Amino acid sequence: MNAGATGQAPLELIGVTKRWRGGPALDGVDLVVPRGAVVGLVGPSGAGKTTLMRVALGLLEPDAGRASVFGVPAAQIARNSGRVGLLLDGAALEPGLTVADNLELHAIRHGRGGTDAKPLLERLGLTRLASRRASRLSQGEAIRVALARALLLAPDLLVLDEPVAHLDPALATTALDLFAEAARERGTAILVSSHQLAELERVADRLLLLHQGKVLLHGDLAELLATITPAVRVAARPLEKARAVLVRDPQVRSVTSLRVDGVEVLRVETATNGATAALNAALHVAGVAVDSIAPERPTLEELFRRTLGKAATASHEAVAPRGATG
Amino acid sequence: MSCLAIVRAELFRLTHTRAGRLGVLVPALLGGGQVLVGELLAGVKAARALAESGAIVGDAQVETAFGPLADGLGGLGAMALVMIALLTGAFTIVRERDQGSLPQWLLARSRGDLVVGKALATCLYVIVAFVALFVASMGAAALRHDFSAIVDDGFEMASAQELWIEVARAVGAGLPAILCCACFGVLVSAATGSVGAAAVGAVVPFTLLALFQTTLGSAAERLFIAYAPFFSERAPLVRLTKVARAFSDTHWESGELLRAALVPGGEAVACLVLAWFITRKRAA
Repeated sequence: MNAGATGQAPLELIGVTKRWRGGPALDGVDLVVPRGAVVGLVGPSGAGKTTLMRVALGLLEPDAGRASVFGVPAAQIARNSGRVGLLLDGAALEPGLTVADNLELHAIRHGRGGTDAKPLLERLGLTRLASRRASRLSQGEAIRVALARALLLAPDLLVLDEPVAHLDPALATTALDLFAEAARERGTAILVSSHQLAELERVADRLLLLHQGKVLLHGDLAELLATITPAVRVAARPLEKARAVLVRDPQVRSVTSLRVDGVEVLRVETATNGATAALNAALHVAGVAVDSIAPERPTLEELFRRTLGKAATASHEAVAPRGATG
Repeated sequence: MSCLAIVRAELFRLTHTRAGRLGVLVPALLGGGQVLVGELLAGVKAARALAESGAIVGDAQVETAFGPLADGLGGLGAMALVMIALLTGAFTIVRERDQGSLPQWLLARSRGDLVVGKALATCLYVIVAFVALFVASMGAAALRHDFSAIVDDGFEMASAQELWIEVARAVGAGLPAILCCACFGVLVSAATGSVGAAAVGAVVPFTLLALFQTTLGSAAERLFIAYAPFFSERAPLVRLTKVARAFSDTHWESGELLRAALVPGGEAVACLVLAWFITRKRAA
């Protein structure tokens, strides 16, 4: 029975709070991972991403709130045996077993021994390693085996903590394509955390940004990216004259200098999208030679940087008055 | 029962790793080896006596294969089996925690199933290792002797059938203590945070109690350690070495075998209940 048939969200967290001795690891977190969605979980180290995953899977008990998997309380997640694929705490393979035996062990654990792992091994470039003991694999190879294990039983929900951290770019792309394919073709719900934001942006369609256990952003990734102030990059001569022209333009919010591949360029934040042509014309009229001018694509990295920057500023402002009175 | 998947998975792991296979082979090799060395030394002793006095040593006349078999079952092989039971149990849960694979198990089965399944699998594994020890000891014992009645001066002291029954009674009463060692190991495994701590936590208290059990007096009778073939005179498998030779001063005391089966049996259940309780409360 799949999530669609039951109408239950594959993964749901409502008001989840988890405290460690040093303070809250999670603070009132709400999250829904719908069927077929790829939710990117991002945040700086120590933000609470892994804790969130552990609570979501019933491996940690929350201090407040509730977590459920396919409508079943997370503490009873074993009732969904075989429906959840997991990559947490690194590869976590059985070192004395071969690659093929590690996958078979996983299938037996879920009462599905004899599941054919060959297509997955082939897809992840592991066929030649099938008879090699896990203790003799490199870190990247071990992670690939762990990914094969997570995908082996065609789960309805995948929870993946840093799945591409130790993979080379080509394999990272293959792995991410596999996730996207699972979501698209089988409706697998995916919660994936990563510090590799460019890679994550390629597959995620929703985003949850955590900072110090709190949710800073949550929603449709495209909509969140659209909230970033539009910007244009300009390479021109003379640069100072170009800056003077742009600063005076009513569409321009700010102008900053950047160095890209050893060349100094201007980053121009504009009030609206589609200002590139107008700025180009203004520079030409002012007699500036424009080498290149192009709108900047809003990226997850930019969204991440800005949101955390705002959070840091807000927390600094909240602390400052107290310091002044003390 | 849903813990059967855990049993199958754990047995798959144990039978597909080198360490797992070694755990079955080591007690058998030690037990069989001990019998062979014993036979060799007895042969040398008999030959020397024959050369010195021209007479055959008396013991050699009455020895049947039951004595060497009992030596194999209650000697070094059994001690190794006790250690393997303790350590296999002690590693069973904590190693998953250590290598990060515990969540993989908890996604498949409940914590209660995990403890019961892992304990059952460990006990089955220990039984397989014991069968290997039995077969090796029996094979080694049969090289020089027959499994025949013990006859002394033309008088049949014990028939072969009676001796087989004694062996079966000793095994039936002695095996629960070894299985309880495995369950004690599972309890330590549930309670500790690393493989190293589990090994120390299982072996050190067990060995100290085994070595100093005489100082506990009659209280030792209430501990499974007293019935494990590990520095213990009470252990049925150790006592079998004399019973199987029909020594006149050796016989099972009233209730001895029942106590040897029930005390470890009860303590094994208590260990598993405690292990289940701890695993339920601990974060994965």
